[in-house]
Amino acid sequence: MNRWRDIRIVAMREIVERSRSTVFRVAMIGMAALVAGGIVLLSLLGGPTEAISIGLGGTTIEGIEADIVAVGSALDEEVMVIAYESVADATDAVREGTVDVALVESSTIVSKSGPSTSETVILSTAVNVAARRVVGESLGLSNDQITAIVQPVNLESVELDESDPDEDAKSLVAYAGGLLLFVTIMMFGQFVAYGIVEEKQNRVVEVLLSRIDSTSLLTGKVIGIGLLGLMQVAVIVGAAVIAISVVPTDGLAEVDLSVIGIGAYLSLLVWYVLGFLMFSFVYAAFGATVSRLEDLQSVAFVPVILIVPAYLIVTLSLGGNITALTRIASFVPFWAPIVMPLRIVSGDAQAWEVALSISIVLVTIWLIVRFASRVYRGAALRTGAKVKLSEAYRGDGV
Amino acid sequence: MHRCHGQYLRVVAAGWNRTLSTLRDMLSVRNISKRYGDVVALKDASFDVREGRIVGFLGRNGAGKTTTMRTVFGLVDPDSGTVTYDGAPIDDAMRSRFGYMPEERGLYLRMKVHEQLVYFGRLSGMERQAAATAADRWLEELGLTDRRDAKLEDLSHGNQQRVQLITAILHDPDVLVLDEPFAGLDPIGVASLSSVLREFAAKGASILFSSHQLDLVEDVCEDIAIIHEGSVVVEGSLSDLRERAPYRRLEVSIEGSPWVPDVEGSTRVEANGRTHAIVDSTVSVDTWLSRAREAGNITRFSYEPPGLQDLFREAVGE
Repeated sequence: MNRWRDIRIVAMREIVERSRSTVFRVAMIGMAALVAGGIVLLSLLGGPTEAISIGLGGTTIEGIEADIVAVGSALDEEVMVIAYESVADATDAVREGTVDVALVESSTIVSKSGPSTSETVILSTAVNVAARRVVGESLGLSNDQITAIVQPVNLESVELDESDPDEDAKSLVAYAGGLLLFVTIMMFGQFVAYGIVEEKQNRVVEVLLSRIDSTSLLTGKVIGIGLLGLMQVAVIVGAAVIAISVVPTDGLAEVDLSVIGIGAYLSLLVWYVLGFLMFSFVYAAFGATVSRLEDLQSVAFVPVILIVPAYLIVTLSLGGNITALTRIASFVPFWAPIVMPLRIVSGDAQAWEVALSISIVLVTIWLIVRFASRVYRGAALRTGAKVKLSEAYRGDGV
Repeated sequence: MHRCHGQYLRVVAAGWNRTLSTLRDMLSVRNISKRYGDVVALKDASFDVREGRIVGFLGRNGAGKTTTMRTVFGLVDPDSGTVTYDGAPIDDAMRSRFGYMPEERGLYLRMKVHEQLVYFGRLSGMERQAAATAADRWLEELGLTDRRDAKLEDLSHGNQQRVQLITAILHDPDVLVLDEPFAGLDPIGVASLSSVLREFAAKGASILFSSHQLDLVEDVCEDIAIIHEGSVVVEGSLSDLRERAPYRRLEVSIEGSPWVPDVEGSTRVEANGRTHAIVDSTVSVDTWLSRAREAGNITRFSYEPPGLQDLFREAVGE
């Protein structure tokens, strides 16, 4: 009975004291604001595209204005055409920005710094269409015959990979989820290491360990800090959901987040807990080996190195680009908590795969907890120089 | 001569151990040894802290005091030997009746004083309300009531020490182990800590504390244990050890200057700017007195059982 009581008391102190700290509050509010702000900004940038404005100057083929607009709409671009009296007028219009590009003498595209691909395609196609029409008319063909000649052929599109209309939403959630897990696990894992070193540095650890055993102290600390992390994840996800619901309907809101089941969102929380447990105990073991906060940097990079490949794999696998590497990585102990959620959100993971991955991670956590507790016990009372992990694992105290 | 005294004292210690082992409510350290690689930290160390007694734990730096104290709290696992209380090995439940003040003071600098005390009290098994009440009582007793809700880092060094003491005694322990509790205290702090220790001893607690301030130990303790190179070489009641010592402290001034007999069985000791002699107790006072008279006009003559300084010096072979 005592052990859980001790763990609870330690965890409560971590939560109360840490949530009082300015750093924690600023970080949480800052990250929530960043996420919400980012979503709003994305939706503004990703708003409806503007019409392309095209100027005409010099000799023009008769009726080309209509052809340009027709070709544009065939390409899903809104096009606006303005005819100028001369080549010079059209060129000036480009220079002043009144139009994006100008077609002069039916043969040259004038632009400020090179036409865009769609501008080039629209204009060259339109010129060809207009020319053929003029030729057809001069040959005395009927309107139907001309239409048959000049009608742009619409190519059918066949996609070999079955396209997923929800791909955008899945990519977004998978990427944001992966990033959130990565950042939160690293951040709160470091809080654990920091807390351990702090207690060593101010020597309070001996006062604590004379009352409770090292495993209770370590577990209480990890649980307390982990719950704070969970709170942060919840606040950030909440901020994101609110931001998505208030941005204009164009842009991001076209990404329908509801296509991803609630189960996938919940799985993010489960994987946060698993990933945090795993990495916080790794951080704990390394944190215990140093005695001063200044020395923490010299060991804190190790967990980062362990987890970064997972983050890179997530980045490479976005947009439905899930490969064998992704699938293998979702079973690698230190990578699974970041990679598996991506597969779950993308609908790629089978239930048994998730179960297997969770089992692998749980076993790893169990091993790490045992290892870290022993290292912690061996190194907690050793002050001064950095203690070797192996030495701490074998030793006890002092 | 040193060797001879050391042996004598060990015999006294063994005698005490036999007497004490029959007593109850006693913290008993038995034959503990601990090595760190090639370094021997403890070598067969044994001693007892009886109910209601204050034991001064003495030894030079590195003699093994802190390691011994940590062993009592399970912070160090001895390679061999046992620590028992009331005849039983110490478990977690029993340890909640112990109070510990480590040499390296440790508290949370940014936590408020009262909250911090309640936290440590709860970790010692107290209910929140009981811990809060006890914390307020001790804060008042040690004159810290107005600092109750201050952060620890805003307290003076002396007041931080007081808070540290309260964390050790808040849960009213039966065994109190204090590593250098007097270090860094001003005279007022020394007085209030002494009275707290006496208060606990009067309630029947067993108290062990280490110190380098021998005059203080003489003042506060009835019993002492001296550890040297990992072994307890002297243990017992201070007055008993002084009386039974096979040597005496002789301090003589001739014409105002210190004088030491220059014969076999007399050792010159200079300490704290004063000079005295440690002499064989089998030689009579009269003999020393007449030798002193031969040397000149006696302006001071004192012949006493050895003080703690002398016992300590003999025990650690200085």
